[in-house]
Amino acid sequence: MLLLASYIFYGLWNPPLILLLWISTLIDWTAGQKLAKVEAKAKRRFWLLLSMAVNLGFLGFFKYGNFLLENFQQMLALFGQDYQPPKWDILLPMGISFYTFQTMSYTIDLYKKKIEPARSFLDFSLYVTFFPQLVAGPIVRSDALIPQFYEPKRASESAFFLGFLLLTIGLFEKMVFADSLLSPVADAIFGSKEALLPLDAWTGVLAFSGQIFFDFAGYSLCAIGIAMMLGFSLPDNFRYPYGSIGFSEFWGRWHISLSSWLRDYLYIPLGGNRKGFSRTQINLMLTMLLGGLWHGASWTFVVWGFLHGSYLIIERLVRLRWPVKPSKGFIQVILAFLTFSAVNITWVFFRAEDFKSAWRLLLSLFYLGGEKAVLTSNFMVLTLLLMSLVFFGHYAMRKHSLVQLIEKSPRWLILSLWGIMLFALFTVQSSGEQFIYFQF
Amino acid sequence: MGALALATLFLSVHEWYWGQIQHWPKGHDLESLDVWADQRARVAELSEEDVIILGSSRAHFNINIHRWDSLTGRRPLQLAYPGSSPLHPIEDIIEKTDFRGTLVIGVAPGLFYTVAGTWPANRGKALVDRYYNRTYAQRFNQWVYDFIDPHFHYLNQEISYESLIDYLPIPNRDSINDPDLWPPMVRMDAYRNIRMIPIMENDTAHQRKQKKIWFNPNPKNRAADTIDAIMNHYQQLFQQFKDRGGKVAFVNGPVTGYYLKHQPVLWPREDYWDRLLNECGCPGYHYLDHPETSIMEPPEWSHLNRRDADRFTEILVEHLREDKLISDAL
Repeated sequence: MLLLASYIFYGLWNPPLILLLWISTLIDWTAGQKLAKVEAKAKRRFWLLLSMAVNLGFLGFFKYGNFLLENFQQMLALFGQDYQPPKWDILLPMGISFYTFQTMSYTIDLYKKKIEPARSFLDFSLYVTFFPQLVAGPIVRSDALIPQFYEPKRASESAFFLGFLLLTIGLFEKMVFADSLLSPVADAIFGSKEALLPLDAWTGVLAFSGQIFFDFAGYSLCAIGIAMMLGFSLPDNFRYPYGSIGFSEFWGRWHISLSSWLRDYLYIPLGGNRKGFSRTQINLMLTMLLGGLWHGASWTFVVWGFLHGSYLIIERLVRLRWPVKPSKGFIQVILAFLTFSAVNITWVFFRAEDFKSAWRLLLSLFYLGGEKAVLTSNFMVLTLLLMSLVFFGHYAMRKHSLVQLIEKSPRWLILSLWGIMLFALFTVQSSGEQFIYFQF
Repeated sequence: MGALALATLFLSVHEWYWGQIQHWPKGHDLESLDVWADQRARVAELSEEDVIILGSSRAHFNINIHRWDSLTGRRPLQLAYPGSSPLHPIEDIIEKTDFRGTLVIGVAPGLFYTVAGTWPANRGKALVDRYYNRTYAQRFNQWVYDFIDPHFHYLNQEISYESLIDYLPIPNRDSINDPDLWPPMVRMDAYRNIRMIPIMENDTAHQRKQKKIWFNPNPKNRAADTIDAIMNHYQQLFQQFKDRGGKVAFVNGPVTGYYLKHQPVLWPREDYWDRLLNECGCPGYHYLDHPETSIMEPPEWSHLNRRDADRFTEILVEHLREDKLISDAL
């Protein structure tokens, strides 16, 4: 039933692209079965490579096809060759980056003999297509999800209502904060063709910072909430990232399922920190560059990854030089604010359409050429107020979880806030923007 | 349950406030892309006796398709859309369908004479894109909306939070213009027929709010440099349509005040309207050419009230009948 619901859910977007899901499922199921039985090294490698080739092939064709072709064209132009490639109109299948990474983790873990294969084809198919997290994660490991499918599930009354509350919070974050308040501000600033006043530029960057958090963390909460209402458990994907002190902590709190996937299936296989100081930094940078490219087929995403890689390397060097952890609260807040600010600067490359726009906005941030004001006071004040609350709220919640907070709070308070959020969801009339991470 | 009850209580207050205090009418969203797409989907069912109305808000306001239906026995398809150029919808109907009936095209000069890539054209393109790119989920969503949308204020996109933020009384910097605060103006039904609401027809303070939005101290003709290309493109499109048996009629609706002052200066009749009719070889009905429509006064300078819209429709139908561009259903 859940499997059928998942296919219908995906098909409501674009039915023919279910075929890709089926192919991915079939190949990875077959490869998984073989990897579980075959002992010969060469054969095991063959099945692993087949699985990876199909998944990465899909990603390469649908997500990076045009990007590769454009770069090939530009490279030929450097040598004076005028090559006009045929124009491809490729539709990016929603959530392809998520389900391909998820299924790859299954075959890689089987290859490494870390997990048992799924007991049945249907269980595995549901693992690939489980609708709450199919299109935008969390990217769940097979050993955390497939065993949950073996027995019929039924949510307890308290789990059902907690799941519904998390779903409400997730939708509230997405529709009220991300779409209605922050998206218009970010769009106005990133869409400007002129250099801006620093106040406008910072407000716009902060707005995007909030938009992408509320959009994606909101989706993750919805996925976790829906799964909980059905009696399943999905892992946390965000843990108050904007309160992080340092960038390694940030990546332990932001899109946790992707950062742990990159750590386990890219950084560690590259050698991790086991092959000396220089090699560690190279591995770190490579991981972040590919992590950037995972988000989109554009060099701006690679620069975003490069900035985060650089931050992580600088942080390691600083920690080596000054290994003491700051204990005073005030200094911790300042360090968290510095981390938050540096992360905000990276969002410029993540959101800008091209380097020209990104550069123009960077100059505007530091008062290097912009005089234009574009934002109305209403949107500006609300954005700055909300993002201040986000920063201090995330900092205050660093050692807590949302579920703990809900369970500790008085019932009347939770019910009142829940009622207000439901009312806001009814009346918000967001224009129905799709979740940003659907495109990744 | 407690949370749902609280939300329902708030929602009831919200419905009362927007209906009784703010005078917002219930109905389908005036700017809904999906309601437009639903009507666009009906083009395939039309015969060569049918009529499609294209254009911007004046064609949308001034033609009452139900009145038209009562006069001819056929209800036109209303595809005019506020604040948009009909350029891309015209291209869509002519190039991507085999419709061979009559196109009645509203000509609001600031929006009609435009090239692709400008904001009025982009608004029209968004409609066409929506029609072709709608997912099944969006279609299902719209199907549900069709039932509930006309009955609740909370579904009204014009009073979305994004719009309401503009109402906060925080002063703007000198270089930033205060945002436009659009007053409620019309009620639209599922056929996209719209009727001006009484408060806009009668309340001068309400009309003044709308006039303030229409007023532009430095109006410009964005098409001045590209008019030859625009005319040429329209001429080719309409020739293609006429070659397959289609008929085209242009309509220019009544204006007063600010628009009456600037329109004839920025888009002189002989250089634009007359040239359009000549080069496209199609008839046109200008409000100044008919004694009754020439004295109609839109309450907010640009769109007719209910009584005048009905009469305007009757006069237009008479002209179209006389010129054998439409026929009555038997």
